[in-house]
Amino acid sequence: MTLSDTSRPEIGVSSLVQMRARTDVAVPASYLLLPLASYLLWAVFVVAWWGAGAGLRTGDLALVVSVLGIVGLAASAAASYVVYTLMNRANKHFSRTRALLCRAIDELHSRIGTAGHGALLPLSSADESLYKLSRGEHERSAVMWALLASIPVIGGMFLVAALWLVSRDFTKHARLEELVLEDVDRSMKGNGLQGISVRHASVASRDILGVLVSIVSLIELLSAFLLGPAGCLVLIYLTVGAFSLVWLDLSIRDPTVHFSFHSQFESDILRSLPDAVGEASNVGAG
Amino acid sequence: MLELGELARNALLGLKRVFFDRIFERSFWTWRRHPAIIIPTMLGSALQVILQSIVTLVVMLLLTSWALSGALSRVLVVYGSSGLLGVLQDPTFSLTIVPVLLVMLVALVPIAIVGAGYVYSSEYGIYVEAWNKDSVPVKSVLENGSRRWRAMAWTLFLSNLITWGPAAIGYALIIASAASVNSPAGVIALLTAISVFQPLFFASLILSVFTVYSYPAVVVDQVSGLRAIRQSFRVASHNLGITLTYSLVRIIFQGLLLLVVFFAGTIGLPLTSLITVILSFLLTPILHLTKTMIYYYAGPSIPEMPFQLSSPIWQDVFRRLPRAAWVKIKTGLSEGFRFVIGPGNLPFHALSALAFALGICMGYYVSVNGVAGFFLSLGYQPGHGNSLLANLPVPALPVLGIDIFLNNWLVSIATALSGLGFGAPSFITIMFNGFILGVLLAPQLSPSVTMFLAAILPHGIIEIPSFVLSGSVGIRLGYAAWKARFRRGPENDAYLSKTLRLAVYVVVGLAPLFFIAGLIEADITPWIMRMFGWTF
Repeated sequence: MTLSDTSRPEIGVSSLVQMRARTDVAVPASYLLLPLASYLLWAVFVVAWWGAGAGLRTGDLALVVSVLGIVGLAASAAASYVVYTLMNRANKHFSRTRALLCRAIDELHSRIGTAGHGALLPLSSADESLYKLSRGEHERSAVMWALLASIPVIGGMFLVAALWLVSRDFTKHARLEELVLEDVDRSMKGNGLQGISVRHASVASRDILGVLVSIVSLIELLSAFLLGPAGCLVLIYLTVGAFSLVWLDLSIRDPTVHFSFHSQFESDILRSLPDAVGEASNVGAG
Repeated sequence: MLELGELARNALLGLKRVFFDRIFERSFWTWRRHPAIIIPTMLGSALQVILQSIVTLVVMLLLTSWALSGALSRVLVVYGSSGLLGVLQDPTFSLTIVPVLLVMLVALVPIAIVGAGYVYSSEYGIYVEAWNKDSVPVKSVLENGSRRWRAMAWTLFLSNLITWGPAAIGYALIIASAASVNSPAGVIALLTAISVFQPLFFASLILSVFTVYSYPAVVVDQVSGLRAIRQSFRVASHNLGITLTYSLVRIIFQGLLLLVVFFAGTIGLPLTSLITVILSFLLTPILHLTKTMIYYYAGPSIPEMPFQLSSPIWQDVFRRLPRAAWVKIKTGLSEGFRFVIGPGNLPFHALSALAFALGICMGYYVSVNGVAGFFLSLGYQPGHGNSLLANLPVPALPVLGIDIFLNNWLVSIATALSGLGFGAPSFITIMFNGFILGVLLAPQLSPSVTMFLAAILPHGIIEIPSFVLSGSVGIRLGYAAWKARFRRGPENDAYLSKTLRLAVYVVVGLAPLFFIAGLIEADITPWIMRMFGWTF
């Protein structure tokens, strides 16, 4: 059996620019309440579970533990939705940017014939920068990380890992994207077109936060000698959970400046390289 | 064209990637656009009913023949004291039971392998079709099933042998050593077997990651057996990241759902059937479709999947999906009504009703001739209902009703579609339902007919005709399968496709009836039973 992607639509610069409204979305800060609820509920669950005999005997709290478990799972699912949203937003932004830059460079390639060979050098450089961007970026599975973050109690660690990856990816993306934009700008100008406003719009790296949470957790691991294994685990849970909440807040806000920079240079690209194709590619039930 | 430029550049630079989320999202929308892709999953549960029907037929026939020869009470006494092994070792019964069991096992294994080959060939074939086409008719289920069933059955057999063989060997060692656990040497042997089992089981788990694409390979690359497994190994090892992502997503989804069932179960909320429905009709098709398309896009000649934006899935799940499901149910109700009143369907209704009546008679007969006494000896108290019902908190009763509804609905789906096995499995399943009712009808177990009716009628007045109807459409499906198989011709193939479509719609239309019956059974029947003298 052979397969063919016959239905693949043609996406123009304008369509890709229009898609910005759906990829570079602002995540409401109120979403933070969902992981907060999950964090608190599982903390209470662990305490109640311990109080009910840690599953070894049928305590009076058994019913409460079960109810907390169900509510906690619901809260975890809601919290994992936030992780999914953040990671998916990053994936969609990266993919759209790559597609947009690729389309713009293709467009510039097609115009070289009319503008002469003066712009060939920056365009080749743009090709190379785009290659580096494509090779350097990862589209991580938001579904998988959201599911990992929804695992009760230990999901907090995956949450931190997911946020760390998102932060790093955004930082790298901003750096590599800037290089492509500079080359595209020079190519445009070499083609006699109006260039694009390239400015430094980096996304802050949060590696320090990741290193900090790892060090603190390791130190707390040593507290097992003082507090016992249970106390040590509770301490780690509380620390990782608190860090993840702070990090979530940062991850929600960090790309805002970068997105606003996109809105500027994408308008410039669209003005210089307008296309007639305005049909957006969309998959859905209606 | 954007993609061509990007793809050409990516191919040139060796940058082609397979994206899990893109495929997963599009799998969801493919599932939404083509509801027919869940029919093979339904056929999977129908296959289980076909296999069960062989076992239930053997059980019913054995019990009836023993009852006719007057040996049933003795068989049950031996069974009660020494278990099934005791019955097998008793020379009086072993002469009958051992050959029958052997024949049954010999029949079950090839039917299971061939049936699964058909189901998987249909399932993976329809995924590939649905991915590319705008519409997937029901006849595609049958066409895809018959296209690659041999190759799929062979691959399935080999793949499972290679994957789970090590774990099976380890398990067999444990079972073998557990027989002589009374001696110190036996204990050492058991401990050794357990320690051997662990690495073997781990090896099976690792192998399962690499053989995950064996079934898609049969459909996408038209290979079978060892070549399909080899292809699967190649694709999995070259795309280890996405293969592990797929495996992890699948495991976590199932693990979380099990956790929900566990927590709900501890507070008396039965959610098993709900989770089964979610797994069978939503997650399994989407994940299998994702797996198939990962395999497809991993192909060296296939370009990277282009960037596309999809509509938000959650909004669709909560807003549009229930509406779409209701539209299908309404269509099912009207199709079901037409099926009931259609004069041409009277023979099928009659046959299904006959199966049910025959089952009641057989059940009643074996019950009064020994089975009822056996139940009494086990502690069954006539007039005493299931105490679990009395222990459940009142808010849990509607949940129990939904659980009963979904369980009965799944059984009716499987009963109807198992009719593809030339109607016999549907007939036997309906007969077995009657058989159970007949057993309970015996005067030793039911203090009075009024009490029996009080326990059965309130919900049974809806549930029993619904079951009989699913049996009826199953028998018609069997008739259509028989015609298509033995009187070959395009019109008979078309009749089979039409009947399969009808069967699916009829069982979908039965959902509201089973829903009402389930709620009555959980909330009202116990109350009526108490009124008529039942205790809990």
